[in-house]
Amino acid sequence: MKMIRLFHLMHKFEEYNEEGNVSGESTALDDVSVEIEKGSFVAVLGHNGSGKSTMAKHLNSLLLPDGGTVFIKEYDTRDEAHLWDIRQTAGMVFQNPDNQIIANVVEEDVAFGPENMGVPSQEIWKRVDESLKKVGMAAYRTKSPNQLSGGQKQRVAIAGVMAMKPEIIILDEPTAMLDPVGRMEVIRTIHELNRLEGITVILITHYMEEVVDADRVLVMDGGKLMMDGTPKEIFSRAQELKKYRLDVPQVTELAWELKQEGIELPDGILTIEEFADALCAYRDALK
Amino acid sequence: MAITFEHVTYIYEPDAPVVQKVLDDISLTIPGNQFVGIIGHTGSGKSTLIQHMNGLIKPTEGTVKFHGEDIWQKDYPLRQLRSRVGLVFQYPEHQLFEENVFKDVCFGPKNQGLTQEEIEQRAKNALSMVGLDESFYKRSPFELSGGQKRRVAIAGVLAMNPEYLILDEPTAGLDPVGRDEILDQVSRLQKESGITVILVSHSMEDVARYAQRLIVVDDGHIRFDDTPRNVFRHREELEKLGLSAPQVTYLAAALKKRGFAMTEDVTTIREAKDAILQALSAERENRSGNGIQKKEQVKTDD
Repeated sequence: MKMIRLFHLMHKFEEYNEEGNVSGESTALDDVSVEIEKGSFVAVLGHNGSGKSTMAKHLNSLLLPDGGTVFIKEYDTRDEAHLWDIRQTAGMVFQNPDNQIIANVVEEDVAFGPENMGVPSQEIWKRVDESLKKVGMAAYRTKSPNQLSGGQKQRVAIAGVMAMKPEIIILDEPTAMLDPVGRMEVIRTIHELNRLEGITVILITHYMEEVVDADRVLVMDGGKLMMDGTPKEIFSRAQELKKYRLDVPQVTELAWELKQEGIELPDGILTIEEFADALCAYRDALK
Repeated sequence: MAITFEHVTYIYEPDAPVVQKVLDDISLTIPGNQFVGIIGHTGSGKSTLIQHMNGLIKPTEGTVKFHGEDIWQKDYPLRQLRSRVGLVFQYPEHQLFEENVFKDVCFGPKNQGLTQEEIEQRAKNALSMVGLDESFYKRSPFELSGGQKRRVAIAGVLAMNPEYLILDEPTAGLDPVGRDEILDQVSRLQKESGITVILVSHSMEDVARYAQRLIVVDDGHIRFDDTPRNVFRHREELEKLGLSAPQVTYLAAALKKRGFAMTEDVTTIREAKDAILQALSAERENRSGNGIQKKEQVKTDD
């Protein structure tokens, strides 16, 4: 089943001159078509200004198409009658945890979404319980968000989205402000939600290592969808990625560098394990 | 020439019932002409630490000295200190406000009492140091990309001719090429002009690649202060502190475990490449002759 369908999506931004009048238009999304399968983990890469955040905002009606159509399940995002269905289906998590947490106690923060949806209070507390458990934050239920680390705050923000029982979670650079362990916690959590709960995940990131376990990688440039494939396929095309101001994980680059020295390693090595296996195979073949 | 901390303690709200030491008895010297990395998990105290360096925060106890003088003694020119120790905050592009790039960069030196000519010269130099040419001068900062805005903000601090440049996560939220561009330029600037750069970062790969010295802050203490290579030897301790080591460091450990005769002291791609090539050529020699003897050697190395 397709959870998300974009047909020839266009988005334009108006440009203003010094007097504040409209002076022109720029195209942020240019004829983007893509379909995303239920339960898949999709990473979106692209340099600053490539259009990936604009695309994300189309997935829960924060922005509406200037051309083309976006469907979330069967809902057209322009259909105001289904606005809340769409927002409940597709939850968003942003970069800065401090801008997303509003309550003074963790459980109240998580309860905020379902409360707004008019969920009965008995059911709300059940959802708060479940959501905090799912992100591994149940022990912090009565704590103040101020006492939490960045990674923990982001997990609370994710729990807040989970409490609305979404089918899709869109995360726009959720780890940009986190330290390494915080980053790992968040990435692990969203993989668990994807695997155990069947949540469709759209992860926008600038960290190539966070992408290696995705099912599918989309690469954007200049408002267009330029590449679409598995991490292995995408990271095998390192030169093309550089053109789009992107990069590959350190082990992938190292494998490429060694290849230039005549060490025959396969393309698209993504993890330490794969690298070690490949180098062992190379060693064992040495005569 | 140095920034010196002598037993610096900082307590947030000293009168609160539970006293929380954000910095706890820190002593530290940062001389001129160094590239220093600072790492620590969110809330470790590293931002508080750097804000002591240019007198934005006053220590609760202890002394901060600049070139041997206590910066909190009476009549010390703190304002002047802040142009000699330039601090670029996180997301500095939020602080751009002038109508064009050139004016924005002129703002700092303008407050230093220079002539118009000197101000413009400073701004031009600073912009060229961050790789922005004349075509950017008249553009509005708001129409630039994230990486370009950040470079304008860094130029604004450089235009004050600081002796120390402190950058608080200058690459957060930038794409990979944007990250490399900024850090390459800062690194070149550091080498050419001999200023000291202090880079606060969450990227272990970046500090490994650029810093000569790496300071690890945790819970208001300095846990490590050494070369990146020596610091990243403590992988497990770093993980307990919410940090990690570069991916290639973990790779080197994994390869060693799988029987490659190679060092784990690898922190950059280049070092990893050299170490692997060396291990492979040892392996080739090994196979092409007295294999048994060499194998024993590897064993004793372990």
